[in-house]
Parts: sequence; C-alpha cells; structure tokens
Amino acid sequence: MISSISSTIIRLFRIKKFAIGLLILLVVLFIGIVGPAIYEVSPTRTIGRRYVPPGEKYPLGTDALGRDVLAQFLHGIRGSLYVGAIASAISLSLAIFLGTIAAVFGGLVDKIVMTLSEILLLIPSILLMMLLAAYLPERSLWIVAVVIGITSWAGWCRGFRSRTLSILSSEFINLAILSGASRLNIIIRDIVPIIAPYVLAAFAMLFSYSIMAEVGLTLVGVGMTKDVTLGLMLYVAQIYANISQGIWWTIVPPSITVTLIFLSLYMIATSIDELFSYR
Amino acid sequence: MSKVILEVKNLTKVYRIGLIRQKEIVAVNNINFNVKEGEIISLVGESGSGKTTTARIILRLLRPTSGNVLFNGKDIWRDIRNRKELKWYWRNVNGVFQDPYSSFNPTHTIRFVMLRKFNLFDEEMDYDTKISMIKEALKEVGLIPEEILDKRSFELSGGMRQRVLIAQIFLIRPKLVIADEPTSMIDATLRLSLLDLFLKLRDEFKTSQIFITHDLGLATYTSDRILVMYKGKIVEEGTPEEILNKPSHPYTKKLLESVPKLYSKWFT
Amino acid sequence: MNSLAIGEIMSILDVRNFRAYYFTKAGTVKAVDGVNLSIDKKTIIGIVGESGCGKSTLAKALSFNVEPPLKIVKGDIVIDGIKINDMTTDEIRRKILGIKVALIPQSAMNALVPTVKIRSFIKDVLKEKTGYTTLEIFELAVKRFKELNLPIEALDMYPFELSGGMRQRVLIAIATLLNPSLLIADEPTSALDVSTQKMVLETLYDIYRRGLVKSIIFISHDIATVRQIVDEIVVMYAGKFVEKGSTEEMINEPLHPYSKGLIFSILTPELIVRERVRKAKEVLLKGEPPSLINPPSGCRFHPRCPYAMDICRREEPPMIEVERNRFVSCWLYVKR
Repeated sequence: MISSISSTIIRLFRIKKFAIGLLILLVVLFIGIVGPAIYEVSPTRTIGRRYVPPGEKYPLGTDALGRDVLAQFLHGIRGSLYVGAIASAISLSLAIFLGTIAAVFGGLVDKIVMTLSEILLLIPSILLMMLLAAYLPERSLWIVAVVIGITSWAGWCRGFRSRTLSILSSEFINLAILSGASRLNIIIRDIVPIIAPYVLAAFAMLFSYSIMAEVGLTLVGVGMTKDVTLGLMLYVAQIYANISQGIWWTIVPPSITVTLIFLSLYMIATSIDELFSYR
Repeated sequence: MSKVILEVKNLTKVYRIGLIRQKEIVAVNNINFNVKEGEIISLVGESGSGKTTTARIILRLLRPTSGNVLFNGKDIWRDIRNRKELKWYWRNVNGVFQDPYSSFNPTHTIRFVMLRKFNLFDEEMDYDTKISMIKEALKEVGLIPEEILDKRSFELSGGMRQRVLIAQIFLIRPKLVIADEPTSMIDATLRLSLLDLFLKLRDEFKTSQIFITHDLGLATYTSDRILVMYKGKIVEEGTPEEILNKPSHPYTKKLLESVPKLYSKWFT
Repeated sequence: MNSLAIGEIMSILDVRNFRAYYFTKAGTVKAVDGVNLSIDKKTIIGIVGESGCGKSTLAKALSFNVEPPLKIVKGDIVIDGIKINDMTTDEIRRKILGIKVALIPQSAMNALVPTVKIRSFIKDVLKEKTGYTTLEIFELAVKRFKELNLPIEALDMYPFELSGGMRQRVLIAIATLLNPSLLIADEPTSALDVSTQKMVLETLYDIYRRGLVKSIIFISHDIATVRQIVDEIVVMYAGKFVEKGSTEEMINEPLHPYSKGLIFSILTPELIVRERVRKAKEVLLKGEPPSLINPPSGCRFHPRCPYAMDICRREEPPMIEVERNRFVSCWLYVKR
C-alpha cells in the first residue's frame, strides 16, 4: 500500500503539467505567506502621494489613495489564498457529504439533495452570492468566503453522487461482499481510494474558483469591505479607472497572480484526473 | 443419484419503482428448481428474463420477495444470520460475473484481490501459506503468478481478468459456483478454454455449477441440464438433447429458430 | 496493375497489397498490413477474425471512412474498374461513396442523424450525390422501402423511434439506394438481440438477391451468423489474411492452424457442434492476439501455433492456392 502510494506520487511528478503547476502554486503560496512578514509596510495606510510609479521608495508604486501597492499585493495574495482555502473547504465538505449520502441512502434524501443542488445550479451563483452579500452590512474575508462556499457545492455534489453511485453499482463491490469483506472494509478499501484523487482535483478546482469568485464579487461591489485581497486591489484600480490612465502597476501584478493561481490549480487538477481516470 | 445441494422453491422477486405512483415489475415469478452435487445446469434466457436476478438471490446479494433458497437444507435468508454463517455460505457458494472490467476495483492489485478471499476461511494461515495457495490457484487456470500478482486489473487483458476470477473459485473450492455470463465479453477463441476451466473444476472438486447465459450454444456445451427462462418463469427444462431435439414450449422453439447455426442455413 | 483498364475484366473490387495503419503516440498500429482481395463475380464474402485482427479497420479503409489517426498507407484499390488511388478525397466523396461502395456500420444510430427524420436524412444524402429533385428522391426511397418490405411510415420517424433491428434495416436500404457495386457490412447484427438478427440478415440478403448491389463484404466475429449468407469465408489474423475458401470447406475443413482454432471454437446449439468441439481440443487457441504495433516476425501466428517450425519464425509464408479457389498462408502447406 505504502509503496503503491509513493509510486503513484512519483508517476504524478513525472507529468510535466503537474510539476509546473505545483511549482507555480508553491511560489505564490510562499509569497503570500512569507511576503507580508518581510515587507512590513501597512497595506491600508496612506503613505505618500497618489500614483507614484514603481521606483526606489515604493517598489511597486502607490495607488489612487497613496497606499503602497507592493504591500497591498503581498497582503492581497494572502487574503485571496485565505478566501480560496476557506471557501473551497466549505463547499468541498458539503459536496462530499451531501453527494455520498444522497447516493448511499437514495430515496427521499436523494430527492432533497438533488432538488437543492438543481436550484443552486439553475440560479447563477454570482447572483446568489450578490444577494447574500448585499444583506450583510460589514463583509470580512471570512464572510465572503462562507458565502462563496455555501453557494458553490452543487455541481461537485452531483459529481460525488454519481461517482459513488457508479462505484456502488460496480460488480467489484459484489465480489468484495462475496469475499466476505465487511461494509467498513469496502468503504475504506474500495470507495475511498477511487474517490480520493477526485477529491483532490475538486479541491484544486474549487480553490481557484473561489479566488476568482471573490475577485468577481468585489469587482461588482459586494465583496470585501475590510481585508485586502487581490479582488479588492482590482476593484480599487477599476473604480479609479486606472486602466485608461495607464497606471499599469496597480492592475498588472494582481491580474497576473490571479491568472497564475487559476492556471496552476487547473494544471494540478487535470493532471490528477488524467492519472487516476482508469480505463 | 447424487444428492441435491441447492433447492429453489417458489422464488419470486418483485421490484417496485417510482416514489408515489408505484409500479411493480415481477422479475422472477415463482420458480422452482434444484441442483445436484457435481451437476452443471444452465439458466438460459434473454435480457429481462430474470436469470440474473435469480443468480443474485442465490448468491445472497439480493433478498427475494417470497420463496426460499435452501443450501444443504438451510434457508439462506432465515437460517443464515451472523457474519460467521455468511462466510460459511460464501465459502460454499460463490460467483463469477460477466464483466471482467467492472469486476475489479482499479486500485487493487491481483494480490490483494486474491488475499481478500481468505476472509472466507475459518482456519488461520500465515502469509506465506496464503501466497503459495494463491499461486497454486493461479497456475491451475493457466496464469503465471509471478507476472500478474502485483499488477492491477487494467494491466491485464479481459481473458486474463476472467481467469483471475476463476482462480478465486479454485482457491476457495466452493460446492456451488454461479457463473453469470462468464464468457460473454471474451472472444470466441478464448471462450472455450475458459469454459473448460469450469469443467475441470467439476472434475477435480465435484463443484456444482449454475451458468447464467443467453447463449444456447454455450449451455449445450457445458450443461447437464438446461432451464429456459422467459419473463421471470422457467418455461422448459431438460437435457441439451431434449431441448435441442424436441423443444416443447413455443418460446424455446422461437429461441432455437433465431440462433444462427453452423450446419443449417436460414436462406437458400 | 495498369492492365486493369476499362474494357478488360471488370472486377467489382480489386485490392492489392493494401495497408492501413493507425499513427498513434504509442507507435504505428499496423491494423491492415498487406491484404490482397479480388472479387470478380457476384458474391458475398465473409471476413472473420477475433477482435483486434484488423477486420473493422479494413471495413473502414475499403469504404474510405478514414479519419486520423487511421491512414491508408499503401495499396491499389480498383472498384468497378475505377482506380481510386488517383482520386482526391473530395472526388471519392462525390463519385464513389454511396455510388460505388457503401458501408453499414455496427451501430446505425451513429450513422443516422438523431435530430433528423429518415426522410430528410435521405434527401440530404442523395441531393449531394445526385442531381435528383426532392420528389424523385422520395419516390425512389418509397419504392425501395416497399421492395424490401420496410414500413413506409419509418420514413417519417426519427432514428430513435425505430427499434434497433428496424434502424439497421432502414440504414441498409438508405445506403444502397443508389445501387452501389459493393456493400461493406461491418458487424451489422452484433449489437442486436438474437431475435432481430435474422430480420436484418434477411434484408441484407434481399438486397443482394435482387441485384441491388453486386457484392457484399460481410465482416463479423460471429461465424455462425456469417455462414448464413456468405459464399466464401476469409480468415483474418493480425492484419493479414491467412485463409480463404468456400463457406462449406471453411466450416468443415479449415486448413490454417489459426482457422482451425477459430472455427472449431464456435459453439452453437447443435449436438454435432458439441461433439466436434469436444474432439477438437488439440487445436484450441492459447494466448492472445499479438500487438499490431510490433507484430511477431515471420508468420504472425507462430507464437500461438502448436505446429510452429523454424521457418515460421523467420519467414512470412506466402499465400498459396492449395486447391482451386482455396488459399492458405501457412508453411505447413508449402511443398518444397
């Protein structure tokens, strides 16, 4: 078992796409975690003139309110990663829990879960998030993350449900029973190993989705009001029309980073999926 | 006359579908038959005839709506209750299924799949004994143990997978094997050698067998007795000679008519 | 091969040294590797073999249903006196497909368009190939459906409204509306229930008997089905033909060790068949067909052959005519 896990990991690292994706993600994670600790400038205080271009004093210049863009950028990465982690943890847990119980219990439980997820899927989730967020006067990073989390589980829940259903209907479950395997043994040895990579892939996708969703929410004006995220940076840059003024330094770093996070997680998710999608 | 080991009495299975307006589907309708020691019988029918449902009930994977299945005189639903008795039952009655692809969990090695069958054994054995027994069983079905033990099912061909499933039967040596279309997804050329493994099982261990199949040709080749199933009922029963030479039920006649044959032509 | 100009013997099909490969990442799969076949009178030929022997690829290639990674690598095809090699893809589509050659695939559902009624499907297909008006096309279709005892109502149905067997029969009728010289049927009945197979076969045979097509190549793994309508059987193994003969000869007395294994493993509900199978234990095939990326040297069957000799490993056996119209490619039958 141990050897098979390590050989799988080795095989995973042989996939270039996975290695590159992971490398990018690690770099972003490192910047987000270590960056704010090293560069000790407050991201929220006005420290100079507005729109100072990048230079010796302010490595990435200042924004419309005269705040340090590098500090904002570093804190923003951290904030966005928080949102991603919290939101994806919430929606993933909901998706796994609801998906598997719907599959295992069937009947009414299945009907309820499926109807709920259908409703969630039908209404564009950004609309739902906007409604939820608009009700809450003060929106911290946590609240935004929770809002994203509880509105984005539906699709993956259906995925987990169908995966579990297909596993349960497989002949090998019957053969495991005929081998005298207990129910617990079947769950641990048959169902979990098959679902595990799917969970990883789902986590990666949800993580990037959540970060993007936060950016989206903030851009339409119902996002974060307190903490700094990459979304907030883009929001500020947008309301002050930085693009048309050629103030590139407030826009380019956060956009590139958001894209990179999304890309890296996408690469990781698809390579996990490719490796484990047995024929 | 050898003794009866399995009796199926008035077996019925009704499926109810739909939540509010329920619809009943009678999959198996009051069937009766028995299997003697060392006997090979075939349940022949098209899809939807209830043959697979019958197999699942005998394997104790599915609860019948009414009727009984008696193995060595014991009712498999009433008299078998705890895990120990269940294991005893599956030690004696086990199965091979149709699809060699979905019969294996892709994350499991053949070693694991084979070792798992030792759950059914009462006696304690050390790992080396188990492995040497597994190797023995794999050799019996014409596989090379060293080559496949640490492989996963998707690294093997369909024919080899089906052999592994049959090796499990050789390992536990049950009294009765239910083989549900065990060769329908295997090329014709390899089919015979697999069927011969079942015949070998009977010759060596007097294992009784129930073949579940749609293929009258296969049934003719392997069985002592053929039971023709149609819409949940057994409509005809007899030796291959009886069924082929003088079928009495219209369904059997139609079935025989529609199967292409080697020594007669439909069109001239 | 230039001698096959118009005016000489008009063969229905003449294929020389035909090769069709799949170019995949894992390597080149030589699915059809040097096949010769000529049909010069009205016949139904059955091509049989295990899955993976290349028979379906042959069907695709001969009917020009060639899409990457599959490619026709080499070989001359002459159909009805027309050399196909010189033609462009577009020309083939306009002048050959459906007019000279037609294909019946395994699943009619994939060939028909699910959102289009049979009637409009026929119109779309024929408009492109012929100059017929819509009315003429429908008249032709109705006439043909009547001829083949197909219900006219089927014309106004969507493919999913037809049963599997009916769908296959309708497809046979559509594919042969323009009376192609050659019809290639690739496992036309294997996706169907036993009870409907006979009907489909009957339609196929009807087409032939009425002279609507000149010849049929019937490709299948199921020899008992094939034998119902074919005059000759060709056995294919690992991308090559290994034996050819009349149906009766092939069933009763296959020569090639592979054909023996293949044909003596057929199980049909007949007591004679049970006896012959029980007796034929020594010819039973062992092992699995080889990979077509890296096929065995010499005779491709030698790793599985109980009679393999030294020469079999080294040299490829030629196809020799052991009796009139009886061909086999095996060193056991080469007199030296």
